[in-house]
Amino acid sequence: MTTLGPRRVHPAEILPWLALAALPWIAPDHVLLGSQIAILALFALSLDLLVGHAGLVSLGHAAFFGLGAYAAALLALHGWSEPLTGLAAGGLVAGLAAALVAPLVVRVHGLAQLMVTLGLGLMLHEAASRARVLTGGDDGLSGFDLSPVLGLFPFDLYGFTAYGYALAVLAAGFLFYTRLAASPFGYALRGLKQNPARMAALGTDGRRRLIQGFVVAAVLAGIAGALLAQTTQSVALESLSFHRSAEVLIVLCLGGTGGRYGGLVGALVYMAARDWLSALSPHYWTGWLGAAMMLTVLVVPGGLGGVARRLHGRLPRLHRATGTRVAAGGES
Amino acid sequence: MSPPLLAVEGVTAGYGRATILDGIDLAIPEGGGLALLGRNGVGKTTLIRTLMGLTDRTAGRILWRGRDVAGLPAAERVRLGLGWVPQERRIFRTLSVQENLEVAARPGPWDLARVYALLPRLAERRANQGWQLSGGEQQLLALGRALMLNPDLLLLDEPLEGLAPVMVDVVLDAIRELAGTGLALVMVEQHAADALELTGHAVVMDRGRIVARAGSAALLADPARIVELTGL
Repeated sequence: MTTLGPRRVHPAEILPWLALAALPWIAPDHVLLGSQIAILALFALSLDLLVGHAGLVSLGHAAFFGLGAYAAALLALHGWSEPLTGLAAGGLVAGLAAALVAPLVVRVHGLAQLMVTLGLGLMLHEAASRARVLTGGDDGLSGFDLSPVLGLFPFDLYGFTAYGYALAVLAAGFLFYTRLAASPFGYALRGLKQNPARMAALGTDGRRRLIQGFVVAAVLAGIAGALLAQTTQSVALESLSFHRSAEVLIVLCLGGTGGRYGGLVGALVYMAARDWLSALSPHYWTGWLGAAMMLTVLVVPGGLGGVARRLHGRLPRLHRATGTRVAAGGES
Repeated sequence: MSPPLLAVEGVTAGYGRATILDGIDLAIPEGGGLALLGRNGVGKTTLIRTLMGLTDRTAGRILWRGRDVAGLPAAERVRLGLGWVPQERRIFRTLSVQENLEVAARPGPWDLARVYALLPRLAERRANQGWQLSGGEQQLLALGRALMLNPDLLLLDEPLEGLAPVMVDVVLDAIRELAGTGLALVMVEQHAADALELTGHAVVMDRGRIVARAGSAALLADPARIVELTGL
Protein backbone atom coordinates (compact mmCIF):
# COMPACT_ATOMS: atom_id res chain seq x y z
CA MET A 1 0.00 0.00 0.00
CA THR A 2 1.01 3.57 -0.41
CA THR A 3 1.14 4.43 3.27
CA LEU A 4 4.23 2.34 3.95
CA GLY A 5 7.39 4.15 4.90
CA PRO A 6 7.99 7.33 6.84
CA ARG A 7 4.61 8.79 5.94
CA ARG A 8 2.67 6.09 7.71
CA VAL A 9 0.64 7.44 10.62
CA HIS A 10 1.90 5.97 13.87
CA PRO A 11 -0.76 4.96 16.41
CA ALA A 12 0.96 7.16 19.02
CA GLU A 13 0.14 10.18 16.89
CA ILE A 14 -3.39 10.02 18.22
CA LEU A 15 -2.13 11.41 21.55
CA PRO A 16 -1.64 15.07 20.54
CA TRP A 17 -5.04 14.97 18.87
CA LEU A 18 -6.62 13.65 22.04
CA ALA A 19 -4.91 16.47 23.94
CA LEU A 20 -6.35 19.00 21.48
CA ALA A 21 -9.79 17.42 21.79
CA ALA A 22 -9.56 17.77 25.57
CA LEU A 23 -8.83 21.52 25.40
CA PRO A 24 -12.41 22.62 26.30
CA TRP A 25 -12.05 20.70 29.55
CA ILE A 26 -8.41 21.55 30.25
CA ALA A 27 -8.43 25.22 29.28
CA PRO A 28 -11.96 26.35 28.42
CA ASP A 29 -10.85 29.98 28.21
CA HIS A 30 -8.63 29.17 25.25
CA VAL A 31 -11.09 27.53 22.86
CA LEU A 32 -11.39 30.68 20.75
CA LEU A 33 -7.63 30.76 20.30
CA GLY A 34 -7.78 27.01 19.66
CA SER A 35 -10.25 27.55 16.81
CA GLN A 36 -7.98 30.18 15.26
CA ILE A 37 -5.01 27.82 15.51
CA ALA A 38 -6.93 24.95 13.91
CA ILE A 39 -8.02 27.15 11.00
CA LEU A 40 -4.56 28.58 10.48
CA ALA A 41 -3.08 25.07 10.64
CA LEU A 42 -5.47 23.87 7.94
CA PHE A 43 -4.59 26.89 5.81
CA ALA A 44 -0.87 26.16 6.35
CA LEU A 45 -1.37 22.51 5.34
CA SER A 46 -2.90 23.70 2.09
CA LEU A 47 0.06 26.00 1.37
CA ASP A 48 2.45 23.20 2.27
CA LEU A 49 1.03 21.12 -0.58
CA LEU A 50 2.35 23.85 -2.87
CA VAL A 51 5.58 24.84 -1.15
CA GLY A 52 6.64 21.62 0.55
CA HIS A 53 5.51 19.13 -2.06
CA ALA A 54 5.11 20.69 -5.49
CA GLY A 55 7.90 23.24 -5.09
CA LEU A 56 5.61 26.13 -6.04
CA VAL A 57 5.85 29.42 -4.18
CA SER A 58 2.93 31.73 -3.52
CA LEU A 59 2.40 35.13 -1.98
CA GLY A 60 -1.26 35.13 -2.89
CA HIS A 61 -2.60 31.98 -1.28
CA ALA A 62 -4.98 34.04 0.85
CA ALA A 63 -6.97 34.72 -2.31
CA PHE A 64 -8.36 31.19 -2.09
CA PHE A 65 -8.78 31.40 1.66
CA GLY A 66 -10.78 34.60 1.24
CA LEU A 67 -12.84 33.26 -1.64
CA GLY A 68 -13.82 30.28 0.50
CA ALA A 69 -14.71 32.58 3.38
CA TYR A 70 -16.87 34.86 1.24
CA ALA A 71 -18.56 31.90 -0.49
CA ALA A 72 -19.57 30.35 2.84
CA ALA A 73 -20.69 33.71 4.24
CA LEU A 74 -22.74 34.60 1.17
CA LEU A 75 -24.38 31.20 1.19
CA ALA A 76 -25.36 31.63 4.84
CA LEU A 77 -26.54 35.21 4.25
CA HIS A 78 -28.80 33.98 1.47
CA GLY A 79 -30.47 31.42 3.65
CA TRP A 80 -28.35 28.29 3.25
CA SER A 81 -27.08 27.85 6.79
CA GLU A 82 -26.03 24.20 6.79
CA PRO A 83 -22.32 24.33 7.76
CA LEU A 84 -20.87 21.32 5.94
CA THR A 85 -22.30 22.30 2.58
CA GLY A 86 -21.01 25.80 3.28
CA LEU A 87 -17.53 24.34 3.68
CA ALA A 88 -17.93 22.42 0.43
CA ALA A 89 -19.06 25.59 -1.34
CA GLY A 90 -16.02 27.45 -0.02
CA GLY A 91 -13.71 24.74 -1.30
CA LEU A 92 -15.50 24.56 -4.63
CA VAL A 93 -15.35 28.30 -5.33
CA ALA A 94 -11.66 28.44 -4.38
CA GLY A 95 -10.92 25.39 -6.52
CA LEU A 96 -12.69 26.85 -9.55
CA ALA A 97 -10.80 30.12 -9.20
CA ALA A 98 -7.53 28.21 -8.85
CA ALA A 99 -8.28 26.18 -11.97
CA LEU A 100 -8.62 29.46 -13.88
CA VAL A 101 -5.31 30.98 -12.74
CA ALA A 102 -3.19 27.84 -12.23
CA PRO A 103 -2.01 27.59 -15.87
CA LEU A 104 -0.60 31.09 -15.48
CA VAL A 105 1.07 30.35 -12.14
CA VAL A 106 2.80 27.11 -13.18
CA ARG A 107 4.14 28.68 -16.38
CA VAL A 108 6.70 30.62 -14.40
CA HIS A 109 9.14 29.82 -11.62
CA GLY A 110 10.89 31.41 -8.66
CA LEU A 111 10.62 35.17 -8.35
CA ALA A 112 8.27 35.44 -11.33
CA GLN A 113 5.94 32.95 -9.67
CA LEU A 114 6.00 35.01 -6.47
CA MET A 115 5.09 38.12 -8.48
CA VAL A 116 2.27 36.39 -10.37
CA THR A 117 0.69 35.01 -7.20
CA LEU A 118 1.17 38.31 -5.39
CA GLY A 119 -0.39 40.17 -8.32
CA LEU A 120 -3.37 37.84 -8.47
CA GLY A 121 -3.90 38.22 -4.73
CA LEU A 122 -3.74 42.02 -4.88
CA MET A 123 -6.12 42.13 -7.85
CA LEU A 124 -8.66 39.98 -6.06
CA HIS A 125 -8.34 42.05 -2.89
CA GLU A 126 -8.96 45.22 -4.84
CA ALA A 127 -11.90 43.68 -6.71
CA ALA A 128 -13.44 42.52 -3.44
CA SER A 129 -12.94 45.96 -1.96
CA ARG A 130 -14.81 47.56 -4.88
CA ALA A 131 -17.61 45.00 -5.07
CA ARG A 132 -19.36 46.32 -1.96
CA VAL A 133 -22.72 44.90 -3.00
CA LEU A 134 -21.33 41.42 -2.92
CA THR A 135 -18.59 41.59 -0.27
CA GLY A 136 -19.63 44.49 1.96
CA GLY A 137 -16.37 46.24 1.05
CA ASP A 138 -14.37 47.40 4.06
CA ASP A 139 -17.24 46.47 6.39
CA GLY A 140 -17.17 42.84 5.33
CA LEU A 141 -20.08 40.48 5.85
CA SER A 142 -21.68 39.55 9.15
CA GLY A 143 -25.05 38.94 10.73
CA PHE A 144 -25.61 35.44 9.45
CA ASP A 145 -26.49 32.41 11.54
CA LEU A 146 -25.57 28.83 10.98
CA SER A 147 -27.56 25.70 11.64
CA PRO A 148 -26.24 23.21 14.20
CA VAL A 149 -23.36 21.09 12.93
CA LEU A 150 -24.78 17.76 11.69
CA GLY A 151 -28.10 19.02 13.04
CA LEU A 152 -26.87 18.18 16.55
CA PHE A 153 -24.40 20.79 17.77
CA PRO A 154 -25.59 24.42 17.76
CA PHE A 155 -22.92 27.13 17.74
CA ASP A 156 -22.65 28.64 21.23
CA LEU A 157 -21.45 31.96 22.59
CA TYR A 158 -18.38 30.48 24.26
CA GLY A 159 -17.06 28.89 21.07
CA PHE A 160 -17.07 25.25 22.20
CA THR A 161 -18.94 23.99 19.15
CA ALA A 162 -16.85 26.20 16.90
CA TYR A 163 -13.68 24.69 18.38
CA GLY A 164 -14.90 21.10 18.06
CA TYR A 165 -16.03 21.79 14.50
CA ALA A 166 -12.74 23.46 13.52
CA LEU A 167 -10.71 20.66 15.10
CA ALA A 168 -12.76 17.98 13.33
CA VAL A 169 -12.34 19.72 9.96
CA LEU A 170 -8.61 20.13 10.64
CA ALA A 171 -8.34 16.41 11.47
CA ALA A 172 -10.14 15.53 8.24
CA GLY A 173 -7.85 17.88 6.30
CA PHE A 174 -4.83 16.39 8.03
CA LEU A 175 -5.87 12.85 7.07
CA PHE A 176 -6.50 13.99 3.52
CA TYR A 177 -3.09 15.68 3.38
CA THR A 178 -1.39 12.56 4.79
CA ARG A 179 -3.16 10.30 2.34
CA LEU A 180 -2.38 12.58 -0.58
CA ALA A 181 1.29 12.87 0.38
CA ALA A 182 1.51 9.07 0.47
CA SER A 183 -0.16 8.55 -2.90
CA PRO A 184 1.41 8.37 -6.36
CA PHE A 185 -0.02 11.85 -6.94
CA GLY A 186 1.86 13.17 -3.91
CA TYR A 187 5.05 11.36 -4.96
CA ALA A 188 4.73 12.89 -8.42
CA LEU A 189 4.49 16.39 -6.91
CA ARG A 190 7.64 15.77 -4.91
CA GLY A 191 9.31 14.22 -7.93
CA LEU A 192 8.51 17.35 -9.90
CA LYS A 193 9.99 19.48 -7.15
CA GLN A 194 13.23 17.46 -7.24
CA ASN A 195 13.63 16.79 -10.94
CA PRO A 196 10.93 17.88 -13.42
CA ALA A 197 12.90 16.59 -16.43
CA ARG A 198 13.13 13.12 -14.93
CA MET A 199 9.40 13.10 -14.23
CA ALA A 200 8.74 13.92 -17.87
CA ALA A 201 10.93 10.97 -18.86
CA LEU A 202 8.76 8.84 -16.59
CA GLY A 203 5.66 9.80 -18.54
CA THR A 204 4.34 12.47 -16.18
CA ASP A 205 2.82 15.61 -17.65
CA GLY A 206 4.42 17.91 -15.10
CA ARG A 207 2.40 21.00 -15.95
CA ARG A 208 -0.87 19.16 -15.60
CA ARG A 209 0.15 17.61 -12.28
CA LEU A 210 1.20 21.01 -10.92
CA ILE A 211 -2.11 22.55 -11.98
CA GLN A 212 -3.94 19.72 -10.24
CA GLY A 213 -1.80 20.22 -7.13
CA PHE A 214 -2.48 23.95 -7.17
CA VAL A 215 -6.23 23.36 -7.39
CA VAL A 216 -6.23 20.79 -4.58
CA ALA A 217 -4.27 23.19 -2.36
CA ALA A 218 -6.73 25.99 -3.19
CA VAL A 219 -9.71 23.79 -2.31
CA LEU A 220 -8.16 23.10 1.09
CA ALA A 221 -7.46 26.82 1.57
CA GLY A 222 -11.04 27.62 0.59
CA ILE A 223 -12.34 25.18 3.19
CA ALA A 224 -10.11 26.82 5.81
CA GLY A 225 -11.48 30.24 4.82
CA ALA A 226 -15.07 28.98 4.96
CA LEU A 227 -14.34 27.53 8.39
CA LEU A 228 -13.16 30.93 9.61
CA ALA A 229 -16.28 32.64 8.25
CA GLN A 230 -18.55 30.05 9.85
CA THR A 231 -16.87 29.92 13.26
CA THR A 232 -16.64 33.71 13.60
CA GLN A 233 -19.87 34.32 11.67
CA SER A 234 -18.26 37.16 9.85
CA VAL A 235 -15.82 37.74 7.04
CA ALA A 236 -13.62 40.73 6.31
CA LEU A 237 -11.43 41.90 3.44
CA GLU A 238 -8.44 40.96 5.57
CA SER A 239 -9.20 37.30 4.85
CA LEU A 240 -7.81 37.69 1.32
CA SER A 241 -5.14 40.24 2.04
CA PHE A 242 -1.41 40.06 1.41
CA HIS A 243 -0.96 40.08 5.16
CA ARG A 244 -2.87 36.81 5.42
CA SER A 245 -0.73 35.26 2.64
CA ALA A 246 2.47 36.37 4.36
CA GLU A 247 1.24 35.13 7.72
CA VAL A 248 0.66 31.59 6.50
CA LEU A 249 4.07 31.57 4.83
CA ILE A 250 5.59 32.57 8.19
CA VAL A 251 3.71 29.75 9.85
CA LEU A 252 5.21 27.28 7.37
CA CYS A 253 8.70 28.70 7.86
CA LEU A 254 8.30 28.26 11.59
CA GLY A 255 6.84 24.78 11.37
CA GLY A 256 8.80 23.51 8.39
CA THR A 257 7.66 22.39 4.96
CA GLY A 258 7.02 18.98 3.48
CA GLY A 259 6.01 17.22 6.69
CA ARG A 260 2.49 16.73 7.92
CA TYR A 261 3.13 18.38 11.28
CA GLY A 262 4.89 21.48 9.96
CA GLY A 263 1.71 23.48 9.48
CA LEU A 264 0.25 22.34 12.78
CA VAL A 265 3.33 23.06 14.84
CA GLY A 266 3.88 26.36 13.03
CA ALA A 267 0.30 27.52 13.59
CA LEU A 268 0.38 26.50 17.23
CA VAL A 269 3.68 28.28 17.93
CA TYR A 270 2.82 31.37 15.87
CA MET A 271 -0.61 31.91 17.39
CA ALA A 272 0.54 31.10 20.92
CA ALA A 273 3.51 33.47 20.55
CA ARG A 274 1.29 36.16 19.10
CA ASP A 275 -1.19 35.76 21.93
CA TRP A 276 1.47 35.71 24.62
CA LEU A 277 3.63 38.52 23.20
CA SER A 278 0.68 40.82 22.57
CA ALA A 279 -0.38 40.43 26.19
CA LEU A 280 3.17 40.93 27.40
CA SER A 281 3.99 43.92 25.24
CA PRO A 282 0.84 45.43 23.68
CA HIS A 283 2.76 48.09 21.69
CA TYR A 284 5.87 46.24 20.56
CA TRP A 285 4.70 42.67 20.27
CA THR A 286 5.14 42.51 16.47
CA GLY A 287 8.80 43.42 16.93
CA TRP A 288 9.26 40.61 19.42
CA LEU A 289 7.44 38.27 17.10
CA GLY A 290 9.80 39.24 14.29
CA ALA A 291 12.80 38.55 16.50
CA ALA A 292 11.40 35.17 17.51
CA MET A 293 10.81 34.28 13.86
CA MET A 294 14.36 35.24 12.88
CA LEU A 295 15.77 33.25 15.76
CA THR A 296 13.74 30.20 14.78
CA VAL A 297 14.81 30.13 11.14
CA LEU A 298 18.45 30.78 12.12
CA VAL A 299 18.61 28.12 14.82
CA VAL A 300 16.34 25.50 13.19
CA PRO A 301 16.40 26.18 9.44
CA GLY A 302 14.14 23.18 8.74
CA GLY A 303 11.47 24.55 11.08
CA LEU A 304 10.20 23.27 14.39
CA GLY A 305 8.31 20.44 12.68
CA GLY A 306 11.65 19.29 11.30
CA VAL A 307 13.01 18.99 14.84
CA ALA A 308 10.00 16.91 15.81
CA ARG A 309 10.55 14.73 12.73
CA ARG A 310 14.20 14.20 13.59
CA LEU A 311 13.30 13.24 17.16
CA HIS A 312 10.65 10.88 15.85
CA GLY A 313 13.18 9.40 13.45
CA ARG A 314 15.57 8.72 16.30
CA LEU A 315 13.07 6.82 18.40
CA PRO A 316 13.22 3.55 16.42
CA ARG A 317 17.03 3.76 16.32
CA LEU A 318 17.21 4.21 20.10
CA HIS A 319 14.83 1.32 20.42
CA ARG A 320 16.92 -0.86 18.12
CA ALA A 321 20.13 0.13 19.89
CA THR A 322 18.63 -0.81 23.24
CA GLY A 323 17.44 -4.10 21.80
CA THR A 324 20.93 -4.84 20.46
CA ARG A 325 22.51 -4.17 23.83
CA VAL A 326 20.00 -6.41 25.56
CA ALA A 327 20.61 -9.18 23.03
CA ALA A 328 24.38 -8.81 23.39
CA GLY A 329 24.06 -8.91 27.13
CA GLY A 330 22.03 -12.04 26.91
CA GLU A 331 24.66 -13.78 24.82
CA SER A 332 27.45 -12.94 27.19
CA MET B 1 3.39 -7.22 -42.56
CA SER B 2 3.19 -5.23 -39.33
CA PRO B 3 5.66 -2.40 -38.82
CA PRO B 4 8.53 -2.82 -36.33
CA LEU B 5 8.02 -1.71 -32.77
CA LEU B 6 10.51 1.12 -33.25
CA ALA B 7 12.09 2.36 -36.46
CA VAL B 8 14.61 5.17 -36.72
CA GLU B 9 15.00 6.58 -40.22
CA GLY B 10 17.77 8.99 -41.12
CA VAL B 11 17.80 10.74 -37.76
CA THR B 12 20.22 13.60 -37.29
CA ALA B 13 20.22 15.17 -33.86
CA GLY B 14 22.33 16.87 -31.21
CA TYR B 15 22.26 19.67 -28.68
CA GLY B 16 21.67 23.18 -29.95
CA ARG B 17 23.94 23.77 -32.91
CA ALA B 18 26.14 20.79 -32.12
CA THR B 19 25.20 17.80 -34.25
CA ILE B 20 26.04 14.50 -32.57
CA LEU B 21 24.03 11.91 -34.53
CA ASP B 22 24.25 11.80 -38.28
CA GLY B 23 21.72 9.82 -40.35
CA ILE B 24 20.92 7.01 -37.92
CA ASP B 25 18.80 4.11 -39.25
CA LEU B 26 17.73 1.16 -37.18
CA ALA B 27 14.70 -0.97 -36.38
CA ILE B 28 13.66 -3.03 -33.39
CA PRO B 29 10.92 -5.65 -33.74
CA GLU B 30 8.38 -6.45 -31.01
CA GLY B 31 10.25 -8.28 -28.25
CA GLY B 32 13.58 -7.78 -29.98
CA GLY B 33 16.87 -6.91 -28.38
CA LEU B 34 19.50 -4.53 -29.70
CA ALA B 35 22.98 -3.94 -28.32
CA LEU B 36 24.35 -0.46 -28.94
CA LEU B 37 28.12 -0.66 -28.91
CA GLY B 38 30.97 1.76 -29.32
CA ARG B 39 33.60 3.73 -27.48
CA ASN B 40 32.79 6.57 -25.12
CA GLY B 41 31.59 9.73 -26.81
CA VAL B 42 30.41 8.18 -30.10
CA GLY B 43 26.76 9.14 -29.54
CA LYS B 44 25.16 6.12 -27.89
CA THR B 45 23.62 8.04 -25.01
CA THR B 46 22.60 10.83 -27.38
CA LEU B 47 20.78 8.24 -29.49
CA ILE B 48 18.93 6.97 -26.42
CA ARG B 49 18.05 10.53 -25.42
CA THR B 50 16.90 11.22 -28.97
CA LEU B 51 14.58 8.22 -28.82
CA MET B 52 13.17 9.77 -25.63
CA GLY B 53 12.77 13.16 -27.28
CA LEU B 54 15.35 14.92 -25.15
CA THR B 55 17.67 16.23 -27.88
CA ASP B 56 17.28 18.63 -30.79
CA ARG B 57 16.41 16.52 -33.84
CA THR B 58 17.09 18.24 -37.14
CA ALA B 59 16.21 15.46 -39.61
CA GLY B 60 14.71 12.01 -39.88
CA ARG B 61 11.75 10.13 -38.45
CA ILE B 62 11.17 8.02 -35.36
CA LEU B 63 8.34 5.58 -35.91
CA TRP B 64 6.59 3.76 -33.09
CA ARG B 65 4.58 0.88 -34.53
CA GLY B 66 4.49 2.84 -37.77
CA ARG B 67 3.43 6.16 -36.22
CA ASP B 68 5.82 9.09 -36.39
CA VAL B 69 6.48 10.12 -32.80
CA ALA B 70 9.46 12.37 -33.45
CA GLY B 71 7.48 15.46 -32.49
CA LEU B 72 6.06 14.06 -29.27
CA PRO B 73 7.40 15.11 -25.86
CA ALA B 74 9.08 12.53 -23.63
CA ALA B 75 6.04 12.07 -21.42
CA GLU B 76 3.90 11.10 -24.44
CA ARG B 77 6.49 8.60 -25.65
CA VAL B 78 6.54 6.96 -22.24
CA ARG B 79 2.77 6.64 -22.36
CA LEU B 80 3.09 4.90 -25.71
CA GLY B 81 5.43 2.30 -24.20
CA LEU B 82 9.00 3.60 -24.06
CA GLY B 83 10.85 3.06 -20.79
CA TRP B 84 14.27 4.50 -20.00
CA VAL B 85 16.85 3.61 -17.38
CA PRO B 86 19.26 6.54 -17.63
CA GLN B 87 22.97 6.24 -17.12
CA GLU B 88 22.87 8.55 -14.10
CA ARG B 89 19.92 6.58 -12.57
CA ARG B 90 18.39 9.78 -11.26
CA ILE B 91 16.31 8.25 -8.55
CA PHE B 92 14.42 10.61 -6.26
CA ARG B 93 16.63 10.92 -3.23
CA THR B 94 14.00 11.98 -0.71
CA LEU B 95 11.41 9.42 -1.74
CA SER B 96 11.52 5.92 -0.31
CA VAL B 97 12.21 2.93 -2.55
CA GLN B 98 8.52 2.12 -2.71
CA GLU B 99 7.58 5.73 -3.39
CA ASN B 100 10.16 5.86 -6.18
CA LEU B 101 8.51 2.81 -7.71
CA GLU B 102 5.02 4.19 -7.37
CA VAL B 103 5.78 7.74 -8.47
CA ALA B 104 4.94 7.11 -12.11
CA ALA B 105 3.45 3.62 -12.10
CA ARG B 106 1.22 2.79 -15.03
CA PRO B 107 -1.28 -0.07 -15.21
CA GLY B 108 -0.05 -3.33 -16.68
CA PRO B 109 1.53 -6.64 -15.78
CA TRP B 110 4.41 -5.01 -13.93
CA ASP B 111 3.27 -4.02 -10.45
CA LEU B 112 5.01 -3.73 -7.09
CA ALA B 113 4.72 -7.43 -6.32
CA ARG B 114 6.25 -8.45 -9.63
CA VAL B 115 9.04 -5.89 -9.42
CA TYR B 116 9.85 -7.00 -5.89
CA ALA B 117 9.83 -10.64 -7.03
CA LEU B 118 12.32 -9.79 -9.80
CA LEU B 119 14.41 -7.51 -7.60
CA PRO B 120 14.11 -8.81 -4.01
CA ARG B 121 16.78 -6.40 -2.80
CA LEU B 122 14.30 -3.58 -3.42
CA ALA B 123 11.67 -5.32 -1.32
CA GLU B 124 14.13 -5.50 1.56
CA ARG B 125 14.90 -1.81 1.20
CA ARG B 126 11.38 -0.61 0.40
CA ALA B 127 11.17 1.81 3.33
CA ASN B 128 14.63 3.31 2.81
CA GLN B 129 15.05 6.71 1.23
CA GLY B 130 16.71 6.94 -2.16
CA TRP B 131 19.80 8.61 -0.74
CA GLN B 132 20.36 5.68 1.60
CA LEU B 133 20.91 3.19 -1.25
CA SER B 134 24.21 1.98 -2.63
CA GLY B 135 25.02 2.61 -6.29
CA GLY B 136 23.99 -0.92 -7.21
CA GLU B 137 20.73 -0.62 -5.35
CA GLN B 138 20.05 2.70 -7.05
CA GLN B 139 20.54 0.95 -10.38
CA LEU B 140 18.08 -1.75 -9.37
CA LEU B 141 15.65 0.96 -8.33
CA ALA B 142 16.02 2.79 -11.63
CA LEU B 143 15.33 -0.49 -13.42
CA GLY B 144 12.35 -1.29 -11.21
CA ARG B 145 10.94 2.20 -11.65
CA ALA B 146 11.17 1.88 -15.43
CA LEU B 147 9.38 -1.49 -15.27
CA MET B 148 6.55 0.10 -13.26
CA LEU B 149 5.84 2.15 -16.39
CA ASN B 150 4.97 -1.13 -18.08
CA PRO B 151 6.99 -0.37 -21.19
CA ASP B 152 7.05 -2.36 -24.42
CA LEU B 153 10.62 -1.25 -25.09
CA LEU B 154 13.19 -0.63 -22.38
CA LEU B 155 16.18 1.58 -23.07
CA LEU B 156 19.07 0.64 -20.79
CA ASP B 157 21.93 3.12 -20.80
CA GLU B 158 25.05 1.52 -19.34
CA PRO B 159 23.19 -0.31 -16.57
CA LEU B 160 26.37 -1.98 -15.30
CA GLU B 161 28.54 1.09 -15.12
CA GLY B 162 30.31 1.55 -11.80
CA LEU B 163 28.72 -1.47 -10.14
CA ALA B 164 30.50 -3.92 -7.85
CA PRO B 165 30.89 -7.37 -9.46
CA VAL B 166 28.26 -8.91 -7.22
CA MET B 167 25.74 -6.24 -8.24
CA VAL B 168 26.66 -6.66 -11.91
CA ASP B 169 25.50 -10.26 -11.63
CA VAL B 170 22.25 -9.22 -9.92
CA VAL B 171 21.47 -6.61 -12.58
CA LEU B 172 22.43 -8.93 -15.43
CA ASP B 173 20.25 -11.72 -14.05
CA ALA B 174 17.32 -9.31 -13.87
CA ILE B 175 17.84 -8.08 -17.44
CA ARG B 176 18.22 -11.66 -18.65
CA GLU B 177 14.92 -12.53 -17.05
CA LEU B 178 13.31 -9.47 -18.63
CA ALA B 179 14.61 -10.43 -22.06
CA GLY B 180 12.97 -13.82 -21.55
CA THR B 181 9.57 -12.20 -20.96
CA GLY B 182 9.43 -10.79 -24.48
CA LEU B 183 10.16 -7.21 -23.47
CA ALA B 184 12.08 -5.42 -26.22
CA LEU B 185 15.44 -4.04 -25.07
CA VAL B 186 18.00 -1.58 -26.30
CA MET B 187 21.14 -1.91 -24.24
CA VAL B 188 24.05 0.49 -24.31
CA GLU B 189 27.06 -1.12 -22.69
CA GLN B 190 30.80 -0.72 -22.63
CA HIS B 191 31.16 -4.40 -21.80
CA ALA B 192 30.11 -5.66 -25.21
CA ALA B 193 29.93 -9.32 -24.22
CA ASP B 194 27.26 -8.65 -21.57
CA ALA B 195 25.09 -6.71 -23.98
CA LEU B 196 25.55 -9.19 -26.81
CA GLU B 197 24.58 -12.11 -24.61
CA LEU B 198 21.22 -10.48 -23.84
CA THR B 199 20.28 -9.25 -27.33
CA GLY B 200 19.67 -10.63 -30.80
CA HIS B 201 21.28 -7.89 -32.84
CA ALA B 202 23.98 -5.30 -32.42
CA VAL B 203 24.96 -2.02 -34.00
CA VAL B 204 28.32 -0.38 -33.58
CA MET B 205 28.52 3.40 -33.53
CA ASP B 206 31.40 5.70 -34.26
CA ARG B 207 31.36 9.51 -34.47
CA GLY B 208 27.59 9.68 -34.48
CA ARG B 209 27.05 7.09 -37.19
CA ILE B 210 26.27 3.41 -37.31
CA VAL B 211 29.38 1.79 -38.77
CA ALA B 212 28.52 -1.90 -38.41
CA ARG B 213 25.54 -4.18 -37.91
CA ALA B 214 25.71 -7.82 -36.91
CA GLY B 215 23.92 -10.64 -35.17
CA SER B 216 24.80 -10.60 -31.47
CA ALA B 217 25.59 -14.33 -31.34
CA ALA B 218 27.96 -14.14 -34.31
CA LEU B 219 29.70 -11.12 -32.84
CA LEU B 220 29.93 -12.76 -29.43
CA ALA B 221 31.65 -15.74 -31.01
CA ASP B 222 34.27 -13.50 -32.61
CA PRO B 223 35.96 -11.38 -29.91
CA ALA B 224 38.58 -10.14 -32.35
CA ARG B 225 35.83 -8.67 -34.50
CA ILE B 226 34.37 -6.89 -31.46
CA VAL B 227 37.73 -5.31 -30.74
CA GLU B 228 38.16 -4.39 -34.40
CA LEU B 229 34.74 -2.71 -34.54
CA THR B 230 34.57 -1.04 -31.17
CA GLY B 231 38.22 -0.53 -30.37
CA LEU B 232 37.50 -1.94 -26.89
